[in-house]
Amino acid sequence: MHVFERFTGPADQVMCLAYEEADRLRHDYVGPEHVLAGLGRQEHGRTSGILQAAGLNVEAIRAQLDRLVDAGMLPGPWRSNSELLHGLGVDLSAVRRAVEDTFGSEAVCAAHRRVLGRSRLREDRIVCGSPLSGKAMLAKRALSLASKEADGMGQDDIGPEHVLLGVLRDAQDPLGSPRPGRRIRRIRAHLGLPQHGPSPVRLVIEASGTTLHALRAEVLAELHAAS
Amino acid sequence: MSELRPDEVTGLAAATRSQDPEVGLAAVAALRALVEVLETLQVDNARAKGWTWKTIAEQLGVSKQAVHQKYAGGGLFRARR
Repeated sequence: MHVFERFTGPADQVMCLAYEEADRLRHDYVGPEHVLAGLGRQEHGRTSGILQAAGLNVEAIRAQLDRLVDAGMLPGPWRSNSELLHGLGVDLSAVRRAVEDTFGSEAVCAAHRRVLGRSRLREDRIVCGSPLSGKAMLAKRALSLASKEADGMGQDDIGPEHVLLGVLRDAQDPLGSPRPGRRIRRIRAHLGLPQHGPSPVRLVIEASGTTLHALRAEVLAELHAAS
Repeated sequence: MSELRPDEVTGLAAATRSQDPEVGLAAVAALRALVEVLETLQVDNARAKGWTWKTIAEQLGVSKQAVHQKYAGGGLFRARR
């Protein structure tokens, strides 16, 4: 079963919020750092409670992410497709509206998938995160680790707690370890993301004075208390 | 040095960046990705309307073989739909 099909309603909501957080930074991808911000934004969540108790409310997370953008460890807003095309005099939102009005958003998505499918077969084409639909998904490893956390607890559903555990586990390894495939490395380079160094999630969490291990212990204690 | 207003700063930054190959190349890649999707949409639409590969190729200004190979696929490397 696909990871997303196991997501509970609140976990789905976290991913929607993560997408919005990526939008806020005008990033053309969704990474673990946006998922962390999404987790912090969720209202009435056990996970956001844990994050807040550790000094990681959404404002603090956003401030840290902005700092990483300034430090060049995350791409700046000018790196987004819409800004790059704007620099060439192309209004991407107008193009999107025009083609969606003509062909419908489903056809636009289908065309985008076809282009991506071709890019996998032809190594010379660099097409990732089409300007017209969607963002590149770079949080796959964190989410697959989240599903392993749920598996380890014998739970079918993946909730926000598992997502946080997956994000924390993913952040323990520096960027580029284990070495991602050539396609992911190319997408990261194209998006202006570093290939090495500590994970942004780790930097955000440690900037608030806590550690990945301490947060993990908090989540596990919370899950244990609830069961 | 007199202080710059915020809009002057962004204007300056934009002017500096427009000379930066990183920006220029990334912009071209974004434009190319956009063109790929638009071309796919138009070719699919034309085929759905019964256009031949020859007429499509003529409108795109490329050879019939080029458009057929890219969109109809060449057996082994056929694009999955």
